[in-house]
Amino acid sequence: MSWRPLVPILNARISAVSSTWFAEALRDAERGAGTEIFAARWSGLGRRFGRASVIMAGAEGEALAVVSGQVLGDGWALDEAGRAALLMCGLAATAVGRHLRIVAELFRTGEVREQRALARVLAFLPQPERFSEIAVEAIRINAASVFEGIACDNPYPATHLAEGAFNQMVVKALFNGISVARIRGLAQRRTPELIRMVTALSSERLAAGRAVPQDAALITKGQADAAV
Amino acid sequence: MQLFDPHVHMTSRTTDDYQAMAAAGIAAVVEPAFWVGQPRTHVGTFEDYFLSLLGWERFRAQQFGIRHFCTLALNPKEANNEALAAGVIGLLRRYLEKDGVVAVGEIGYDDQTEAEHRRFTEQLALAREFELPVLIHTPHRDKKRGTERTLALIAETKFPPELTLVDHNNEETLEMVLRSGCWAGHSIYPATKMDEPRMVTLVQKYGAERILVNSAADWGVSDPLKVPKTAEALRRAGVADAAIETICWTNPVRFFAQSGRLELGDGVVPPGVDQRQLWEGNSVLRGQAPRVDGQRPRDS
Ligand SMILES: [Zn+2]
Repeated sequence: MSWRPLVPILNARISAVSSTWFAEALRDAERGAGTEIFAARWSGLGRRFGRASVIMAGAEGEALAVVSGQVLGDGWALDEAGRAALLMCGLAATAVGRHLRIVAELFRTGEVREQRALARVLAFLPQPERFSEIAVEAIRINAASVFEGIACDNPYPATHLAEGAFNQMVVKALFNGISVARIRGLAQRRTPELIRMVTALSSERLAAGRAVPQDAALITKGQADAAV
Repeated sequence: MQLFDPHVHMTSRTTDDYQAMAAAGIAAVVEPAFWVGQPRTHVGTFEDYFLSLLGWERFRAQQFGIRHFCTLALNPKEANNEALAAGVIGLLRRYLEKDGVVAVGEIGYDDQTEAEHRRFTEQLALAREFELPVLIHTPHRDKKRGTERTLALIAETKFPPELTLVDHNNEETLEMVLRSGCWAGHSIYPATKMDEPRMVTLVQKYGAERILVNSAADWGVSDPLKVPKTAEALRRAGVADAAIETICWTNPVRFFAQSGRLELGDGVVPPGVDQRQLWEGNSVLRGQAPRVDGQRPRDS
């Protein structure tokens, strides 16, 4: 996967001190992702990159990996995109058979920014279908930023999740007031079962005298295509 | 005036507390890892505790517009459990590097045993390695002697006093802590430790420099509003607003900012903040993620 063009894009947006640190971190990652030093770099990156958004200009993102229209790192926070590059670099130097265990361990021991970065990068990792259990874990987490990391503006769920997990994610988004218009590929995953679940949620809200989430209609009335 | 509670165990508190704290002007808290009341019997329990301080508790606080940071350590009480201690110190090597960890703490003496001394010393070395300040618990029994030993260890190991916050001070310990160059914390408690009128007297005597107050609220009889209540007591006693702000906001910010990880975001958090505005990146609950053009972050 082409992540290398991301490095100069990030370096243009971080301080010189952070760029030097990043170059060393990538050198460490080139020896593999399953090491102590990799874990330390993975965690230490956050405070060196910050959380400003990476908005790519013009042709800037052209050489980067694209999955379902999402350009790797475009619109992401700097720390998310930096961690994505670091992980892709580390995994490229690691036997494929060890990838799942390493990524699962990073997720298990991650603080919220780390978990969110993982959720966003899953679709760009080699053989992404292997990581579906991690996506499901991210959906179960209540911290909004991690849940949104997997559910919103992310091609992973629609491409790789089974119907049950995908539907839980959609209903949880509605439940928590997160716009389902931000769920990629929703139109293609609008099944009778999902329509039934969302109709049931709307009915429960009406019975309780509460408002039905506005964009529930995207699913029940089939206006998802227009919104996505 | 926005307020900072630099020592509060929110894990043990309810959302009612968060609500009341936000309404009283508390905009940021530091939650030190400490004893949870029931002794732990597995290293893994510590790991889950650290993870909840880095994840769930941060999210809970954000829902009320409060920034939550933590300090991680093997606490003095459980340093006496040899079966756990080495394992927990091993965990710290991984977790001290994380975002939101603004110091190593609480470390220090409790019963003042040999085991406590050894783990205290080891964790001072860890703080140096990870370039973090330390938050030091002083014992409730034999406090004066424990504080003397603490300051002696800081001097002996040449740990920088400006990176050291010695907590739970009283009339008998404050002067020596200030003289050492360390920062001095005060836990304002309903019955024990320190109360508001005594704190007023201490501020009138010693001023505001390097002095902090906290609620140390936990699972016992304690009050998470003690920082705003102390600010009010100081105001009523005629202490200048500038000095109150120094004690209840600027000092904790300056101390923990030395970690390089105190991300306070832009501007002031008004009480009654819109709960849809979260601090974790571009997490606006409804609609599209804001596409604000990136600015260069500060040098690391
Ligand atoms: Zn405490």
